[in-house]
Amino acid sequence: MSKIIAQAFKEKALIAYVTLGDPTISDTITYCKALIDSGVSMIEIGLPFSDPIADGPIIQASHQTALLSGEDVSVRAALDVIKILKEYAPNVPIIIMAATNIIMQFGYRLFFQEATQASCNGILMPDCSIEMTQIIKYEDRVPDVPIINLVSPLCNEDRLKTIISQSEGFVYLLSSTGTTGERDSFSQQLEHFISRIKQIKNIPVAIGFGVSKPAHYKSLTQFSEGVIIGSHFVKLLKSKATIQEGIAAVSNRVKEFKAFL
Amino acid sequence: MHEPSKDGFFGNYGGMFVPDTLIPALNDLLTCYNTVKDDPEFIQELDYYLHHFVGRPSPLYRAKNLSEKCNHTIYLKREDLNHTGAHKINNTLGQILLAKKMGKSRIIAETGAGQHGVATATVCALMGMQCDIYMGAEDIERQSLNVKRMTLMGASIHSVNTGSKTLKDATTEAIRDWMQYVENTHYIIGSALGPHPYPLLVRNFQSIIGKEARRQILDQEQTLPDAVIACIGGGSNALGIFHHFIDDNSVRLIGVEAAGEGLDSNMHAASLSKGKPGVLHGSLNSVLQDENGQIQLAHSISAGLDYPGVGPELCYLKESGRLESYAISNKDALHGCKELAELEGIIAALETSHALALLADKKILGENKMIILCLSGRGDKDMETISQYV
Repeated sequence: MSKIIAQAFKEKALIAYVTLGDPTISDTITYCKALIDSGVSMIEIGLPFSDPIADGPIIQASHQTALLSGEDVSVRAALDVIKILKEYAPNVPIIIMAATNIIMQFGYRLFFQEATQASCNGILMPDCSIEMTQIIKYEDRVPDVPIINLVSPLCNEDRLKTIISQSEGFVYLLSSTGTTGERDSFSQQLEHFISRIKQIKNIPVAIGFGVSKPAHYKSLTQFSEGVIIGSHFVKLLKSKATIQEGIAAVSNRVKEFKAFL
Repeated sequence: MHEPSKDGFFGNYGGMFVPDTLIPALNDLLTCYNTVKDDPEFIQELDYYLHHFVGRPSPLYRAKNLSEKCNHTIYLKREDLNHTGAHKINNTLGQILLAKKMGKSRIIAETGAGQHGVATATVCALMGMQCDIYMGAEDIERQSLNVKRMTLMGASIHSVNTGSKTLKDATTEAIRDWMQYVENTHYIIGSALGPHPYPLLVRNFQSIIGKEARRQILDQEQTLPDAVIACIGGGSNALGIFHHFIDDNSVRLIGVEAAGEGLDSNMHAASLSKGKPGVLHGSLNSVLQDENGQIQLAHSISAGLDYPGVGPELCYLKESGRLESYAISNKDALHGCKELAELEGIIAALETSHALALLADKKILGENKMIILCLSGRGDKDMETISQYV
């Protein structure tokens, strides 16, 4: 199960977050292909949501842009993009990040069926705590599309056990409290926290929220299997005069990250 | 009885749909609340402030002229006479005492009409706590008086310019702030909304309204009313007055939502009538949304009802048939406000005016009924809006 994901964590994984449809669906496809070419280990496609509570200003603005673009940024559109990318690079895992409401309205059962057909490798719902995943019936889920759980360093031992023992694929560890967005410092306890995770289950751990420098990538992957980079790439993508230049800038940045290891 | 499940569900609604970061704080909040809710010292402290600071119990006033006009016996539960001018302070007082118990040093809140913001700024001044209020830019515009009141009491107002620039977006921003500063900050949610245990907490702190009203009507009329009516935005004044009547099956519980420019216009805030089950701001409730799950913009002339979701317990009461809900347009609400002012010398908030406007509907209410209406707030804050129309 999740062999493709396990493969991605063989080396220190660099996971890139991409907002679907910012600025257009066709740009999203071009951008993801460029990310794959420059060596990212996995792509997390974020479905824009009107009221993202876990995201900072950069990703929120990106969601707004996508929602206002007039493009179809629905679940089905995301799955169509994944199908195209899977033809391009079958072995690069692609997961979906979406607010619980978006998947709920699409229908959980239907989502897992269609996600399987699209070869989507996981689903992350940042506002779905482990206690709430119970609303998704077990018979509706499929092993090939695991629910990726978020865990915060504030989590206590009992809940950590529950989360980790139910986790498949990998664990998305929040670097600290707060929303997504670049930051300079990380919780000092991350290394210790990861050892607590590993005592429960040997599952890859990727650290997200605030990772923006090659030095972060290097230091955090001393004790984790990878990092997720969101706001930093979104900001860089949008910082150039044209989207083509933005894509080139992020591709170069990915290479800088990889070279720094 | 009437308690949510362990994970905060009232029937199919509620829950804790938040990132993992916030779960420890929500669990701590529930633990703290369960520890103190029956603690005589806590109850005494809350009662002290409710009595001496807020001015409770609020009167249950028989509105003679309005009764004659509508051909009912109408009692108004005068939450507008509370300090700060609305029911909101019942909840903010309770929550700030909890925040103190939990050792938090900073308070945040969202506000729509500004009444919850004012009630929060008030208790923060009282308890010497730092206070940050999130408010939509459009609401800041239409509720400038409340903005000045909050500022005078030392609160910092954060203008929210995303989305509809109203209560929905202010709530999103407040949750995001809480994500960041959860370790020292308590978030005082103003309505019976949000992740568990907030809907429970807010309802319980507000249930003093119905507890008093039930005792008062039995004192004055020696019988229970035929109906209890309240306006519904998120649902705090409604649940507050309904709670102690839920088991009185002869008493109709009637909620009034904002129909804005009309229920078919897409310019309304009638989440119970027109929403679909969905997750917004931490709970599963009845949400105005499009077919892809994007939250739609609500609209109402009253900033306090201008919200695309509704408290989970109200969704449950509606689904179970215990709660009836109707919707009143902007125009009718303004009329209700004007009528009460002329007949009784009471200027009600535009939120409350939606409930008042329903009194004219004989088809729904019949005739010669005894009715308690929750006069949830005073209308001073709405004078500019009202004077544009009346």
